[in-house]
Amino acid sequence: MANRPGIFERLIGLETEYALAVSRHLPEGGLPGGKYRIFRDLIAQVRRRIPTVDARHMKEGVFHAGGGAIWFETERPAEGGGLVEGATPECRSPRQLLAWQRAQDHLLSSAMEQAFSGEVRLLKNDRDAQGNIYGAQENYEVEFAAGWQLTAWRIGLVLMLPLVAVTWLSLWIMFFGIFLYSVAASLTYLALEKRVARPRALARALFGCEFDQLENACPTGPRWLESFLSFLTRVLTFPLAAVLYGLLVAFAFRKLRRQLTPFLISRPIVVGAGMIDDDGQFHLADKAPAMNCLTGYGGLLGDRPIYSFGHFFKVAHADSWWNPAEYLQLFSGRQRLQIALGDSNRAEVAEYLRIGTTLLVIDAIEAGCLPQPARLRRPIKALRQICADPSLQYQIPLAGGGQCTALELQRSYLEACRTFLHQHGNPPSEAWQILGLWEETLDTLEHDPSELVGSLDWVTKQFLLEKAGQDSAWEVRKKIDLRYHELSDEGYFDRLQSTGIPATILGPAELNYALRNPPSGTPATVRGRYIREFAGGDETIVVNWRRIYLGSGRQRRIIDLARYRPLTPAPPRAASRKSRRKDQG
Amino acid sequence: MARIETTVSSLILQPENVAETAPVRDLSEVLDSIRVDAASNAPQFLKETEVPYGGE
Repeated sequence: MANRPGIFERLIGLETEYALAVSRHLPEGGLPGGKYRIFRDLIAQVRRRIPTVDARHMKEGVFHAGGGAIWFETERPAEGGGLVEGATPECRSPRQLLAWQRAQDHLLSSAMEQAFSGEVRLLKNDRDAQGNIYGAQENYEVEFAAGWQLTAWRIGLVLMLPLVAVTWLSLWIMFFGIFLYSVAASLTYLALEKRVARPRALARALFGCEFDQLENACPTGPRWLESFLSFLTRVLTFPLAAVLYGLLVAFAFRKLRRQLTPFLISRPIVVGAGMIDDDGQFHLADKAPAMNCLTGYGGLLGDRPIYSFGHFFKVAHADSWWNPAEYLQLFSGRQRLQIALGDSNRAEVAEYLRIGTTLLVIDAIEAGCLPQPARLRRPIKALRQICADPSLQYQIPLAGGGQCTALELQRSYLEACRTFLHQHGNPPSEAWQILGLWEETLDTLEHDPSELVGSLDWVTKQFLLEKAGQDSAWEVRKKIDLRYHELSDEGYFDRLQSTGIPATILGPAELNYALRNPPSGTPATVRGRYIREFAGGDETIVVNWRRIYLGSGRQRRIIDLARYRPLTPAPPRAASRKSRRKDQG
Repeated sequence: MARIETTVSSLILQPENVAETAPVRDLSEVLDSIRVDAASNAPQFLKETEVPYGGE
């Protein structure tokens, strides 16, 4: 286990899906594919602020010199869907990740303000008034499995190859069909354009937009085609999805999941963002009450899991369909654990605790220093009950009999982490800081949660609802719930910030640095520096999370970012002296 | 019980160190502004922020 990382050494990152608040005065708001056009205008503004390059990825998006990425999350855009997704660069420490997450929030909100003068704003939240779910995901690089379980997983991947190949083939056939449709639709339009009474209506039916706007067309085509392709893709990939899911449930992160789940179930009392439900009831968390399973793919079949395996499925059916060599990454003994339970925080202290306490618990589990925690009888039910009780008194039934509160569960993890840090010998000072902040927060929650206004989101939102929305109609209270998360001067958390009440951890210098530079000591360091040097130049550059592609044809060079993941900082052996100089700035 | 070596107050920035922020506003004034804004066109705001089909 020499390869196992120490405290705050593993790679971590956050993904945030931002909702778009589109003013009714803006025509794009009601048009099919309108949010896609908004995304393109946003990216044009981002390019003016920081060097960016196009992503080599199945999704449309860009990487920027800060090392992170911005994507258009294509959830049925022809039907009015679509989100802007920001992905932080890979970081190592919680404070580093907090800084780059906040820099991303600032970059996107200021670019949006510049592009649309307030007619479109971003909401950093997880649920709209209709109950649609989106929002935050946390990523931690962890041990996937060990021993015979890892061997069995790898054998399963090999045995699955014929099914993978059939899925790839069927997807190629589907895309060939789309190509044929595009040709046929164009020829049909050109033949009928002057013979039909309403050529614009014909164009909208065939392409989803007018013919001269094809460049800005919705990426999924007209509504009927989008619906059909969405259904067809699910049918074609279902056998692979089912078999892969079986393997993942059997082998992926088993020890970690067993020990981490009670922590995550009780975590909303600290890091939940608060939410008003359809009946006007206040809940501690926005996303957690919608969770309906422990593991799943995250929305593929209506599942809302705590641990999302969606990225494994994407590698198996999409990334490797594009480039079969990508399939090999599934064999790695260390993989990305994706937690889909957390809320998008506005309060800095809450966001810092969300990342920091989870990372500390994962470090303790991987080091074998976490005693077996209490097992919950019904975790999903307990999660909902905890969130529905802002008094924090709910007694969670335990599997072996007995019960405890979420606060008591959190305290048991806190004490285990304290022991872990003492045993470790020389933990980073930030680990002690997080432990202290965690303990103080639990103490205050127990005695007087109102002292945490400005530090924890659910407490702050509850305070706003009591002070500004008491006895108001549901719509008014729900607006407070949602506009709390708006990233603009008009957003309610931002208004509250002007009173000086919300606690701040990051200084302006840290934020400014993160706005312009990648974090140090991760693959993002190299990615960001290449982007800054080559974006907008004569040489073609495209990027993804794993590689940088420079130049084209026979001149093309590929920089493998996997080489830049040392657990202890050291110059990469394989790099040339010249590129090493460049990577070190 | 072991003592935590770092105090929490050292982690939280004092207002004068936060940024070149605007002058601090009065809380009651801010709450009033939120109360008025929330009551204005609330159903329209809920419609404008809809995310059909959600995300991941």
